[in-house]
Amino acid sequence: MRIAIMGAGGIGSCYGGLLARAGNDVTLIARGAHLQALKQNGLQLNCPDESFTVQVPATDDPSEIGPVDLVLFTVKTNQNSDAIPVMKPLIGNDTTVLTLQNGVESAGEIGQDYGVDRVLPGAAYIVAYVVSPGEVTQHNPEVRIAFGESGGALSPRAISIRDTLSEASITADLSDDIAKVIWSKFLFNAPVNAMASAARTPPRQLMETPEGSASFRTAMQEVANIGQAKGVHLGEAAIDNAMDFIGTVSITARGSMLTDLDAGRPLELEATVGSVCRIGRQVNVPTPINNLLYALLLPYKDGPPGES
Amino acid sequence: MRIAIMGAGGIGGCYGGLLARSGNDVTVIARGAHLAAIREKGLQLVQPDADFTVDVAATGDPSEVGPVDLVIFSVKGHQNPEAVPLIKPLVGDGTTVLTIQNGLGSAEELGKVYGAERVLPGSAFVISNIVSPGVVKQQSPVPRIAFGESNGDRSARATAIYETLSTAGIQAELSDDISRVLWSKMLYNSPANGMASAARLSPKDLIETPEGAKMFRSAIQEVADVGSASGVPFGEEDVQGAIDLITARPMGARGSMQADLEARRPLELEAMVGSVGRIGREVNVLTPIFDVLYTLLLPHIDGSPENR
Repeated sequence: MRIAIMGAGGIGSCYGGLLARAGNDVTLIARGAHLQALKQNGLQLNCPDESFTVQVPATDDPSEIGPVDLVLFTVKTNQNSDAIPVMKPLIGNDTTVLTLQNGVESAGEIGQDYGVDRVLPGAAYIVAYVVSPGEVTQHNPEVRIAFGESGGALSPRAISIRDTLSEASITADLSDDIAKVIWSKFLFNAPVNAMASAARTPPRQLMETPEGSASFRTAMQEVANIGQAKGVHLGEAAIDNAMDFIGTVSITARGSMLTDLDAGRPLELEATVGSVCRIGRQVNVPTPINNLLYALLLPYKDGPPGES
Repeated sequence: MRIAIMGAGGIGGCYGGLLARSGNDVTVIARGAHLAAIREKGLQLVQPDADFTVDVAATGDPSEVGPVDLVIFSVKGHQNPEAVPLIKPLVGDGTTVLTIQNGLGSAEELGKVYGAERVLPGSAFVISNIVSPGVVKQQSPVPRIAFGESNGDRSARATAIYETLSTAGIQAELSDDISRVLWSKMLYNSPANGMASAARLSPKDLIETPEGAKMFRSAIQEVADVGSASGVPFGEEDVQGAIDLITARPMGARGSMQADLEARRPLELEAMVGSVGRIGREVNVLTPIFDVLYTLLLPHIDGSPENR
């Protein structure tokens, strides 16, 4: 399959490297020192039980590639206003865009430019970082993607993508209720990253106090409430699962947003906790905790606030 | 008047210096390098329009002092487990303990040990810090104390203390509703310190963002609701008054807890933030914002090990 990875950071490079190794015609779209290293030395991918280098074309200019069968859309959401128009040359009549971005609004946003029928919503379940230019380390034992047609159909294109992913040793869950899958990730991801960031403390450490555990649950309940109002029924079980999951992550794992905050990088605030607040207002469901977290982190959205 | 200042930091040092200069028999109780410097060179108080050094008795051990007429209790709230029993030698039959600690529970805590009738609740209104050992800098123009008998009486002892403070150049306010005075300080002080600390921004910087302004209003409203349910009614004009006070602060000016957070010292989190939620639960008022602020700051309550 002809595949472009739009945003070959940690997550995009990991999926891209595995897909390239399995024999697909993959191009990585990246920038800066990482791009230079990819061009020069190929991609070095470290997973828990194997490490390998794969030679894979890389560019920062999608017009060098032209239309592909599949775009994996893996840039950070705060780059969307640049990245969505830039990928136009990749999109032909038969191109599918599978978005793995955080939040619940990505597919809709891409669909506005390229048509909703072309976009498959999905979710990435890996922990991967660019550890040095050209080198990506992925920490999860399993490399997983969940995705599906918005309408739930097991379409030929979705099945073909699933098979391509599976052949590349990626666990591919083709879901008939992708909205629920994405909202379940959102329920966990949005408040937990924001809470850990505002506390400057890893989520698992916050969980260990009764106050922290209660605050996580309240914040997740707000997300479940707005999901409910949008027709996605998550229920208590989704919250319990998310709470259980926090209990299993490493005591020192900081989460992507806190890692960005520590490094003085821009935060994926709008797609996560900002989105909870916005959707809450649309559907008239109060989200006081998420509003608070958003207000506390907003001054850091574009990097550290100027000294006053 | 024979006076002991229990906790001669920024605030205690300021009041103690002024009371000593006006001829009272003052002993300051301090620790470490600050104590050594006061013993050697006296206590220097730098005011906006004055700068003087006063020779004042200083010790780390209250048993060297013996019973006094007045103890001004000005240690940080988190030092109470150590400091409350430590003042025992200062307290005789005719001793009054005037507490000017943050929060609402201080007089009760002291009263449990020394008798409620011996304790006067009060509030400090001064921005003052130790700038180097032995040197205290008063930042706000006029040092103020409000205090009173819990039952509102203008007692002889309260009047005598009022006169002693006034003679020393301290703007003293003998209140017949000291409970309201303490709550009114909580109304802006708890949100200002809690919100700004969690955001790592000065209260003024945070309240000037649109999201920050909304959250400040909600946080102040929570304190107002808890106060109202506890018998100190607050209206819309009080909430607006607290917002105006925070807005009027200089840009970049940090609250005391925030200064402690930045210096990684122990935090007065229980008195400033935790108390709102605790009292809220007693009077059946929900405090979602303060509960989360407490969660976010709890990991930092003890400061770094070298500062404990």
